[in-house]
Amino acid sequence: MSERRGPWYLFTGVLIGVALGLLIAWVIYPVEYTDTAPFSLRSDAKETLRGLIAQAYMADGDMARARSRLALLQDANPLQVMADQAQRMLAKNINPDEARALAQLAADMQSALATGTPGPGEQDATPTPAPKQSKSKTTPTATLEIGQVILTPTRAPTKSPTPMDTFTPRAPVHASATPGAPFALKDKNKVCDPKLINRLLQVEVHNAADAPVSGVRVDVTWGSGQDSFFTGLFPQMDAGYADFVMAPGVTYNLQIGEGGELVSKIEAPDCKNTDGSTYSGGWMLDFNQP
Amino acid sequence: MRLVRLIWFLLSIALGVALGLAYGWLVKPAGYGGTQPASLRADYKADYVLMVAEVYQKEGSEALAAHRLAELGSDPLIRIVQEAILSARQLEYSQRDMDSLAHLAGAMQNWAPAPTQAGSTP
Repeated sequence: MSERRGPWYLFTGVLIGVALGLLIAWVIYPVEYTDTAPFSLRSDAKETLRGLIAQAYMADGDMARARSRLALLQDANPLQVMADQAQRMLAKNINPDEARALAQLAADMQSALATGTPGPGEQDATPTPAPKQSKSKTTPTATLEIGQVILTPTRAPTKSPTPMDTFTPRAPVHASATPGAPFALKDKNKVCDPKLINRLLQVEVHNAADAPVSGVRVDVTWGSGQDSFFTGLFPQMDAGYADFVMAPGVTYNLQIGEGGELVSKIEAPDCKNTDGSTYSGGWMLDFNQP
Repeated sequence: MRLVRLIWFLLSIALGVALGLAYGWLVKPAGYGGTQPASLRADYKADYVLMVAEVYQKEGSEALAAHRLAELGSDPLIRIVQEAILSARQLEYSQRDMDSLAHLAGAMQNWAPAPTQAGSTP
């Protein structure tokens, strides 16, 4: 009777074996990755690293270093990836400082590319300690124990009265807003251009020296909604530019930066084509600091 | 006859285990979607810690620095910074960078997370 059962028991055995094999491979002895490179990181870890690179750039102003760090992530279009990440973070209201840093780095890299000049900090940059394989020729750590690192600390900058060469003042990192001065509306012009996207609300932000300012937060509110975005996220436009597509028949309020002038009752204006037909135009708002 | 079936059954289980291991280790290993910062090579980790140190010097927040360092694994934070300093020495980082790392090491040596509000003991 048992001989009539056929070979199904073999199939059952294989299934049990596969389940055991997967349990071993995924749970008991999973593959452990070591000595990996940044480009192999998970996407969320890459985002964390990208944000850290941007914040380090805001701290040291060294674009050469930021550029070489970003290159390790091997993004196809680093500027766009940073801009997208900043927008996502802003939409979810996650760490606005980091979003601002990403926007700033993207804008500075773009402006450096556009002008063909070295970016901030690149001319006087100290040699970047680009990650590399340790040299096998000399092994200065052979006699150095972990615990000794703190026992023989390098002098902290605050305790060192001797200025070091790397403290040379650097060129300004980027055009920045004048601290404390709120942005005010300078011009508001109706834009009737059928080639543009309909109902486009364009914003240009300049500082007191009339230089475009990137990384400035723009808050837009309407009826029951709100949105925020930063200037400088469009690589093809100048650093102080941002835009927003309005919905038909909706009235918007807009504010630039902290405590900036509130521009209210913004609606898409009606424009006329040459044949007399109408379409929805947009606005160009120009803000500056006194 | 029953013994022959048992042997074949065991062999089929062994074949299944081999197939499962091959799939789980070679074709689609755990963590297939990418790696974690903790698995980075020592020189990349050192650069990561240097970035944390640079941001810490600007922000001055030990808690944020600790949060960022925790991405590099479950080792004590001070040990992570110490290992980065060793790598940085090997890689001949500039004095300014070494100072930043030392500054962070000093902060992490003294830093302890704020105690959480646990339920009071009777």
